[in-house]
Amino acid sequence: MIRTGTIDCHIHPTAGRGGPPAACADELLPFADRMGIALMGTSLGPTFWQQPTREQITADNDFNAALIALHPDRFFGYANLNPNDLRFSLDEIDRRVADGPFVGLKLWVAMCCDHPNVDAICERAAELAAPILQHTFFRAGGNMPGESSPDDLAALAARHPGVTFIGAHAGLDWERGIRAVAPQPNILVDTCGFDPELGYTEMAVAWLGAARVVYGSDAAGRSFASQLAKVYGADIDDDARALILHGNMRRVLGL
Amino acid sequence: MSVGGIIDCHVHLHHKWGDRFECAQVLLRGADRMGIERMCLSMGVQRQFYTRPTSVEEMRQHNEEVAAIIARWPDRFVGMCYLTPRFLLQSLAEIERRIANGPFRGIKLLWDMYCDQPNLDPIAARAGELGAPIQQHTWIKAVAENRYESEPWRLARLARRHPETTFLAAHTGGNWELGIRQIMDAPNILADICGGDPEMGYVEMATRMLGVERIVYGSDAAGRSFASQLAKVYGADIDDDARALILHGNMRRVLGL
Repeated sequence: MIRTGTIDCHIHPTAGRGGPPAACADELLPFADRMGIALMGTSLGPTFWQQPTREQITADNDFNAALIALHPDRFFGYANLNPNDLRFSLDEIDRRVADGPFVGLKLWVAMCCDHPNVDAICERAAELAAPILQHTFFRAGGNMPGESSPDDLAALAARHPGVTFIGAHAGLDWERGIRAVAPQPNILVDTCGFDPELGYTEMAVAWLGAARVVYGSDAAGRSFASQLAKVYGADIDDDARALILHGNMRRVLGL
Repeated sequence: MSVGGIIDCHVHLHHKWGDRFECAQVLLRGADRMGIERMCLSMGVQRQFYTRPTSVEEMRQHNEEVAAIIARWPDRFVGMCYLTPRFLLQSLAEIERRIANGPFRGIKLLWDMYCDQPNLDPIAARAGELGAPIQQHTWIKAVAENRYESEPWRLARLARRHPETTFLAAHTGGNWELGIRQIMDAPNILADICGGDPEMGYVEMATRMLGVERIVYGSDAAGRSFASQLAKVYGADIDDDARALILHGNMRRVLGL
């Protein structure tokens, strides 16, 4: 039942028990091999910083660059940014994406993505055709300061129709999150980082179309297997399943 | 890796899908998608959440429903005969009717009585004679108590009294880190991994402490999905021979298939 050639659009280098990039890769790759995952999109770093400094961003992006250098056929990178520090963010885009090897951008919870600072980042992303992986939560009890909701992402995406956005976790409360991003065709949702609940993938396909759903795990915080179950078990046809497991990410990455 | 011919040792009919046949068809669609060849089915569709039967008739009705499904899809469903040990004589008669005379192959026990009580002994003994495995729900409650719900250690007490009978510890106690330890000294108990979140480490710990011959894949569908429960086995850090035993080899041995 395991399908080969899967692309996982959303992992973090938290494996390896605090060791160097090689230790992280050595722990992750056997799991990926077992689950048929050919390629993984990595971002952030071994430690998650809600409000990362320049030094922390540099260290995170260096860590992922080293991971990619070790296994360029297994990892691709999203450059970590803190939009509160816009000058540095734009420079980091040039250093990491324009000059390679990173292919996209990762925005977590440093600043709500509906802020004007993020517009400048999106304009540069559009020039570089770099997808933006944006964390989105509808958090029970209210979001953290700087944490974006699918509503925030929909507002941003409407202003930047030339940028491809991946709404990570589909808002977690996905029954709301899918509806919130549905009107913006340049937003895809990923499947990562929550329990394998029945109906998620089916609803995403019904509302967004299979071309706007991508498999992600949030490994090492979640297992590849538990998150793949959302796609493997979904009541969708096999063409749709193939799009979600790899076809859509191939299109987004230009592979 | 591709594994067909999987045996799911633990499924039920969920009332939300309709009548018994509609429920079975929902199970079959999911099973086909996930490569599951056979499903061990117990209990009927009449309740949202199973309570203690109040009558012998209720117990029999559960088995009637399962019998109807086995008759329709004999290659896909394996019958597990539901018993209420409080009604001991009638339970023993049900074993003769359903298992000794076929087509059921095993016994399902939920929370009619604590499973280490004396009423269970004649049932376990007869099951041993017939080569019928006993699937006993086991749960370690985090809070409060569901009276008559058995912890795995109670099953271990019963199993030690009946070394010739094979037992399946359904859910391995839910709290599997405790549950695996509670059954490890009773070699005739297998861990049924169904019905919890796909937590990392469960199958690995069971393999380490019980040996891979004592672990069987189950889902608890339709209350849990096949896919989420298979993830425990697919994702486990074990070799492919071990995975094949858990997915079908061990249940083939237990059921004599």
